[in-house]
Amino acid sequence: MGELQHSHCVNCVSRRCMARPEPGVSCDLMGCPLVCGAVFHSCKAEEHRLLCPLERIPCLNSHFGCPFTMARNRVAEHLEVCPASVVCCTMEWNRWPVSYADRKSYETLSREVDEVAQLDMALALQDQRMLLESLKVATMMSKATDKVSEAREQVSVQPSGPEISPRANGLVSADEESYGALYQATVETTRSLAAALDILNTATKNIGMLSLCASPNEMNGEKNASESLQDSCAKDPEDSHEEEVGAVGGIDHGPSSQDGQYEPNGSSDLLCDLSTNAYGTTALCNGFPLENICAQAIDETRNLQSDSEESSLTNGECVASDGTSRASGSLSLAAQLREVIPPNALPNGAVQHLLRPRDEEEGEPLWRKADLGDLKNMDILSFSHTPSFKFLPNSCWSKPKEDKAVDTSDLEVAEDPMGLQGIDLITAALLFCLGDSPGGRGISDSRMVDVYRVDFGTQTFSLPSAILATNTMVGEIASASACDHANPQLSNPSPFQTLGLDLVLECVARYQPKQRSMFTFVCGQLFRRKEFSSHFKNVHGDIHAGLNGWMEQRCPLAYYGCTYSQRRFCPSTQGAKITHDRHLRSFGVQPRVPAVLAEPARNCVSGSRSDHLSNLPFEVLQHIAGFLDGFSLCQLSCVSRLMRDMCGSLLQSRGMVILQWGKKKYPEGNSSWQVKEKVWRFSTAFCSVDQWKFADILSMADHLKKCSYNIVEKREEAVPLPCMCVTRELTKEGRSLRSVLKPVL
Amino acid sequence: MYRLLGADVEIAKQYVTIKIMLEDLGMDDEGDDDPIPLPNVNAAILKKVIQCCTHHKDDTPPPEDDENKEKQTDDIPVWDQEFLKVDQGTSFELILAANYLDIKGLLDVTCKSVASIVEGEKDHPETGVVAGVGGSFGFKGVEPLGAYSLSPGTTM
Repeated sequence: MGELQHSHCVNCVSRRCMARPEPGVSCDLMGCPLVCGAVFHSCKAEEHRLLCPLERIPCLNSHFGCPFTMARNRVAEHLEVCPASVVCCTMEWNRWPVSYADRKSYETLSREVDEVAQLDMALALQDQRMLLESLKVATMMSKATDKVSEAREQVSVQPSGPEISPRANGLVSADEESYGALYQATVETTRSLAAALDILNTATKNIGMLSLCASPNEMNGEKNASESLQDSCAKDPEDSHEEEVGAVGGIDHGPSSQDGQYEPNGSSDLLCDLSTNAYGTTALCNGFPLENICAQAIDETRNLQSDSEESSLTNGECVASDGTSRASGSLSLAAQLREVIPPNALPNGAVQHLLRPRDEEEGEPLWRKADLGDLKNMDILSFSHTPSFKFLPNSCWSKPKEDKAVDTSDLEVAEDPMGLQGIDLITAALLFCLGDSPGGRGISDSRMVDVYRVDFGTQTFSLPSAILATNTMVGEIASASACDHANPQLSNPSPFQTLGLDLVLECVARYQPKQRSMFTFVCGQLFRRKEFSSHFKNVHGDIHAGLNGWMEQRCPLAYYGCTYSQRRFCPSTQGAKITHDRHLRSFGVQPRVPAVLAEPARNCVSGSRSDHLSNLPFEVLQHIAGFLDGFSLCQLSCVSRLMRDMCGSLLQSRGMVILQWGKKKYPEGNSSWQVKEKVWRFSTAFCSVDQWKFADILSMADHLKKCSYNIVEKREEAVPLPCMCVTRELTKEGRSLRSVLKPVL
Repeated sequence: MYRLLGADVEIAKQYVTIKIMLEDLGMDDEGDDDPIPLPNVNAAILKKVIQCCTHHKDDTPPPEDDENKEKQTDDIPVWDQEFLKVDQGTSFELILAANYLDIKGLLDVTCKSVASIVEGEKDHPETGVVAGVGGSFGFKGVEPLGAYSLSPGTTM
């Protein structure tokens, strides 16, 4: 604290001290240099700086990233708007999964959904996207977990080498030019994915499977693993084990993957040309009984046994080497097995589908179906990962293989003769979530087929190659964001557009026990302290609470497929409406733009370049942006680099700073969490809506008059009441009511 | 060149720029007929500016900007809303004129108007169309770049 205080001055606080300055004893009085009004002995100047109200000090949140300095007497006022004073919204809400009975109507509802206009659908799809993105499929085997993660890390840093390049050559290469910069990492991702799958095979080798002696150098277009798989399958007449399988197409192969002979995409199951077919991408038939496909399955099996033709794998399609190929049938092999495996039905008749922990001693996974409608009543759905890739002790694996890119979408069958739907990815993902599996679900699962282990695809669904833009394993491939990014470029619509969660929002308090089948979502958004109150009130109190038919009113015939909905409330500001931004995952307020001003802007949409806004001076742009809320600033910062820079200049006053933590490992082996960087961003808070008003809309009855689902049945004759249809209702004379009561015409 | 006559001079003194000009050039005296050069403002826009300032001549001076106060775009007076029902080019010219002439009230109301357009164009967030910013800037489908990462110690 600088010079030591004198013996007199230490205890002297008088503003009119008359003590004579004496070296070592006392010193002169002085006023605060900042003119705060304080008078003190000069030896206390340093001490006074610790409490002078006019002393400029850094913000109390300086260690959390706040860059501001201010007079001490302004700190309290600043804390209200401090950018580092960030509040995380912990509001929760819940949803049930869609029951099987409602699935059809939800598919119809999801078909032509307008997320911007229909807030309830927007929020539900947002929740579903978040849910699917949270799926993390670890390795299928707990033993191999560490090895896989290490291998992935190693692979991720390894340059393309001989181990990877052969696989890479066969990988489905995304057309980067077509997909744009977003998919620049596709090749790297597919490499890492293939490497990860390769590691899985390597890891499973450790559990005592026989190794294969396939040479990594034996790659040609003629012979590949498919023929070996086929031969192996041919030796498996029937499966006597009680299990149902999903899509079928794979046969276990051994450590050939160690030599890099593994198919990417986990598509070893695609190599099996069991009936010279490319098998469908169906795995789960949610609630669909498989009895009716058993016959076909048996036929397929017999075909397999007699089929000894070599097959070549061309781009994932299993075709006979003689060029002939039969149309693939979805679940064909599943059907064959199903014949042998009687369905395990619930007492209510539904087929229950559960994954039981794999008993490695038995070597038999149990795979049963579950009706989602029953999930609400279930306390526990135990899902457990099952190890995969039991290897066949078959010398056929010594045959040369060719590394080929396989896209599981090739398994998708064009027709489904049995009328069964393919895998419902949403349901599969939601089932996984419900199961709370500690492990992961692999791409394929092993089944015992006549002593031999056969790999069957468990998640063989259409995998557009663009999905591989995400650096994920199987569970993350189901990431909705990946598909959504891929959606504009792909011909197939995103499979995640179908809503698998209930539209109705539930709010169960955190302390209340919830059923395992109920999904819980947390807001988790960050706001400046001053913005949090309006966010909670408007978003959770007004919008979320009003989505269950109050603010967003749906047609009463929505269950039958009518997608009509209308907004009953709107902000009191003239013409404003509530919108939803799927990228920001937030609601916002959109004011009504005057037609005169809007038209010139829309003319620019068509292509005429009149960029008035960008031509304004920078300070004027800042002044304009000063009137925008955080939600709008987030969007404006995406428009152009100029806007981004301009919005960036407002971060200190309008944005918030968040610490990014990173784990630092020390050479000694220990690790610690440290602040990696400070990230500035805008919150998604929108301008506060203090009042709501009824929107100027027609009554729902007006819509029902022309609703296509409102089928009016005009009765021309009286319809008897139920009680009149039974003869037990007799009059005193013993005559039935029906004979007594005459219809009213 | 627009010649300010009579009452226009008094109104023009609301324009800080002109006021400073008058003071600095010693043209405050009544009867001084020398023209005031305003090279950055054309006659049509200046006429509109004078019209707006004439309407607001008796208004109390706007308070200093409080950064902590939430700014909104929905509190534009009705007369100003009608006044700003012009084409987009005129609207931006008014902004430039208000900025050049340092007329805070006009600048605020015109910027609010443009800000409401920016907010109102949320229908096209992915194509980056904002208030006349033409066409797509290649930001289709890209997640918002809301995060500005700074290394520790860096100040904005």
